[in-house]
Amino acid sequence: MFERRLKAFLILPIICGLVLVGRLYQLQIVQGDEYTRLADAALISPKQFLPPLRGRILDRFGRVLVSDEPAYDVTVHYGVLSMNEGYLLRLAAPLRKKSPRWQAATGDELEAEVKRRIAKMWTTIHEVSGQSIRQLRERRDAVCRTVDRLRQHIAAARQRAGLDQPSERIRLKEEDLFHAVLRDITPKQRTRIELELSNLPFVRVEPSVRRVWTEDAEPLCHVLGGLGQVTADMIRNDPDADDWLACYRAGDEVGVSGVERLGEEMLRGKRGYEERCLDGTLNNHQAPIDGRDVALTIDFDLQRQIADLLVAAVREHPPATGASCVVIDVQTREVLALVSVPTYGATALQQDFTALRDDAIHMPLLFRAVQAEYQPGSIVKPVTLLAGFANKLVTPTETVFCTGQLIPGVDKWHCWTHWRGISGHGAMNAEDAIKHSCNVFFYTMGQRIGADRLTTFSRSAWRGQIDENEPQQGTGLIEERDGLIPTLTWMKEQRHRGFRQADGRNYAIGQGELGITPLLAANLFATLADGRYRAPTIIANDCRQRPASEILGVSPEAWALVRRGLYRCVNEDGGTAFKYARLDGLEICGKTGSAECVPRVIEQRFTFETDEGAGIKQSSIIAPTVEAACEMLDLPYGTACVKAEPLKRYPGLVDDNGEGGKVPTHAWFAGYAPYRDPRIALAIIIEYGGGGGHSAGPVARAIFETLMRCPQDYLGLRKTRLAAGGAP
Amino acid sequence: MIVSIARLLPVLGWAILAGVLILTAVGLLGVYASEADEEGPAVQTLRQLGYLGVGLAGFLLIQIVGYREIGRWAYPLFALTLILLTLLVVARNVPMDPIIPARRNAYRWIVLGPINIQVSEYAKVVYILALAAYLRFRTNYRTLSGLLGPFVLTLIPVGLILKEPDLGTSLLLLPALFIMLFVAGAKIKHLLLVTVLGLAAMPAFYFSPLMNDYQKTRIESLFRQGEGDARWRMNEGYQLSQSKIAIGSGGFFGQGFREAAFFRHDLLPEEHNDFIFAVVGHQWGFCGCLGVLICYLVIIVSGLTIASSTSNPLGRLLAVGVCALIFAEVVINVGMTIGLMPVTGMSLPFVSMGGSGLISSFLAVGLLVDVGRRNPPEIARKPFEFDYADEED
Repeated sequence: MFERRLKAFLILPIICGLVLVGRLYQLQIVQGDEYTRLADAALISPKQFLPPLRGRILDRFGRVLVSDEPAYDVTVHYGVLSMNEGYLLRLAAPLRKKSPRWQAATGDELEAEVKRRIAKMWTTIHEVSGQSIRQLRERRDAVCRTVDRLRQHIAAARQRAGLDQPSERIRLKEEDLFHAVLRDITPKQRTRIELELSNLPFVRVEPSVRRVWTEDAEPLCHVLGGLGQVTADMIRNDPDADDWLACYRAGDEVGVSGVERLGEEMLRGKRGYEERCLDGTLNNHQAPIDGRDVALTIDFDLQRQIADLLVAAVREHPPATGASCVVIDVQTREVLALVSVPTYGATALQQDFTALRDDAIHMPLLFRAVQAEYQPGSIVKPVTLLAGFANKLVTPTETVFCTGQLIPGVDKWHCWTHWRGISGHGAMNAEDAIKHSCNVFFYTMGQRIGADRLTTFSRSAWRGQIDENEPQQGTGLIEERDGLIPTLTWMKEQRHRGFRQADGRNYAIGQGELGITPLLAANLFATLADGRYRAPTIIANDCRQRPASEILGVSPEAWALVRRGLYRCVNEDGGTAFKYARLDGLEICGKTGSAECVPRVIEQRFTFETDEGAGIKQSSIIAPTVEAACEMLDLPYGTACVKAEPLKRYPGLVDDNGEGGKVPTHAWFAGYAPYRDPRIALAIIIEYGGGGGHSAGPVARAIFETLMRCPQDYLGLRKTRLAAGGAP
Repeated sequence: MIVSIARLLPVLGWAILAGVLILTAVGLLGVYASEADEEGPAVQTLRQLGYLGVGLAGFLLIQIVGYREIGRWAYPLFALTLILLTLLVVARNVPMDPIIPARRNAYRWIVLGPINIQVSEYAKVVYILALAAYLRFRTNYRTLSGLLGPFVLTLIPVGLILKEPDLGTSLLLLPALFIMLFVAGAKIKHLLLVTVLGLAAMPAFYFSPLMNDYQKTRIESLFRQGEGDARWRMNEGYQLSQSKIAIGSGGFFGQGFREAAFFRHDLLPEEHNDFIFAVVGHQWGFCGCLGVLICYLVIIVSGLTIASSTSNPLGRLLAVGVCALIFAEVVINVGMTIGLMPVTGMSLPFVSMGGSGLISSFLAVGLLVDVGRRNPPEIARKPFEFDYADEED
């Protein structure tokens, strides 16, 4: 029986052996090729990407404004950034092999050692870079958040496609890559990091690039814009998402403002990659394709000179907080200068960002030229006049008598003479009214035309819009604003009323619910010079369609009259710009404006509501901006702010008489030159600068002088002289 | 002289010894390939050669002393082993460093200076010896109640080893028990009953708190291998996936003996111990794996033949026990590397690196060969030859 049972038992190893052999056959013979492929793949390091050079931004004449320079980044493997258990375990394994000290260690001890090394890495990076631990933590969390969000998007997409895969199961390529935590380190920093951290496999110093502004490019800071982290939304909506080399990855830097953002598609290049085996030999290689350059229409020299002039003007006219100037070529509507002051330096954006953001008085981050909407004041009076002619509500010869106020006995609707203690203008015809900037004349016009027709006409003059719902074509900059010309719908929603007679009067002199950016103002005067509207551009050789559109209903005589008025405003004694903007040798036409405005809120009490689990908690603090308030209360950005009480405004009331006093007006000057055959239009504003003629006029003169001195014949004077037979 | 050496062991004994040495050589080659490229001496290879020497010495010692003499000490040795095992369990609560250090949160080793003794490895052999000694006398276990003794004898060391914790080794003793009982003559229906009860109790065991999370994960991994779940493959399923890749990429003839690239870069954890079979599969391919399995088969078949040819009851059971042990270890370990068994931390006898494992295996095989050597003259009927006429009922 023993024998029998022995034989019975013998069957067991034989059966088991056959099962094992069968499985081995399956793995080694049937699936052998597949596994060989996997084994070979396992011997290859994760691909290392070679970053492309981002395209440069050039000025009108090809001068380089921004370019990439090679630099080094400190990168950390995603497994360490996310403290992934599996990756930490795999870090522990080779540790055990490499030194006898660790061979006998427990799993806990090894884990502790790995964590200690990771902590040492962070400390070293903190010491070498000078960045606070909090900043490094934020950087690390930002990368993890982006990857997490990506994973959720992919999970959601797969669910929509019918695949039921929980998001924890999805593995992204980003999880095997190294991500930059410290960009653009100095050679000294690089040496130190390589010395101290070279034995750690999860941190590397990788070649990269950094964005460098040319010297003195500070006046262009708003135009150039900056780079920032790519967001999960951008990755999702990336047009190049299918190309694994060209697409955005978590941790990439993209243009977020200015031309960097506008020209992103051209500026971004395509990565290359390098694949090496674990023992170092090169396996696969593709060179990166650099981005293409973007050329602007802006003249770098002109921009710098104008910036200097504006800075001086702001200083001369306290309590001015800033200024802006836009110079446009009338025929091509190319923007030659797009200046906004105050400016900031390239490094300030990274190092002093909080200080810049919280300077609520000067607002250096504000791209005034395209983003700030001011009340236009008197500079839109020519538009009112044209509207009157277009609607046949005024004739060239008719006059209006200005006594200093519109309605006798009513202490409202004054002409500006009232504030200067002068008696009224007397009888004014249309041309005179522009020259003298007579409010009473224009109140009368406004009454006649009515707010509705006036706003409709203004839309076609400012933006080329016939229909109020037409989309507006601008430069394409993300910061660009369309300006404010109220429609009836807007009035109903925002003011809960329709248009009133008072609106007509206000809009006629550029006050009330109107907002214009310096770019729009400059383009408006180019339109006045040219007779047709056309969209402006800052990109050289802009291939977009920018058709010119006629301003309907205005006769050539009306145009000539308005232009004569503008000419006389600057060049005839009595014109509001005569003392300030007139220039020998150049026939400048223009209009001054002193826009009444409200002071800026510079301090508010912000109240936030947070859900603390146990209930809703309210906290409030006084701060200049809502982001500063979040920081001071240690709340995440974007926490719901339920109340913002303005506490302080700037400027306070300016008192030049010793009694009473009012908020200083914004100082405008807008115009074009030369009178015959206009070439250049410009608009200048000095925030809270006071009188338009007084403050902005001289700046305009200085700018036209600069233009005359330019080697490029912007004003066409040399051509004219040649044509007239004179010396060039 | 050669003739006398040749007669030192019977043919089967030489076959077994040859198989054992081939297996040890395969293991050494596998380790040497990955160590040879590193600087300095091939430490692990040399150490294993040292253990081989000790093992062979123990083997020879057993041949000299004889299994029956050792068998007299079966129970005392077993008691000693139980005491040592208890010490290990106690060390969890009463720290006994440095004699009983905690390694990866397990208390399995007794360290006496430079000597590391993994108690459970030796416990396996002692257990077989004790069980064989207990089962020598029939009538103990032809009844259900008679099975109680062997079970208690088994469950005590199983429980102690389980507490170390060492799930793999503890479970190893159960197949050995069943096979020895089966061969010794316990009624099939009794054994079936117990087996069925055991299988029925398994789900309860699985969900009880006796199972750690990671142990459950290992069993789950068996079912998740085919899913293509990338995260699993990188975390819990890493070892198994890498093992399969290593083995599968061996193809028919293997990647070559020097081919250790896959292992040099730490792509398979524990490749010298539990997963040594993956190294074999990678380097020697299907042919190599087949060869290794044939070696084991030769050992087992030789062992069983020895069992049938000898008439000493202790010898018979001892031979069967050793074969059962080797059989179980091989099936569990190889099955683990190819995804048929859960990962249990069990090493492959003779091939895996590790002193205690190698030496205890040599001791076991020494007993086996010794049984084959000493054949008393045929006086009575061979034991365990039951006729049904012997039954009382």
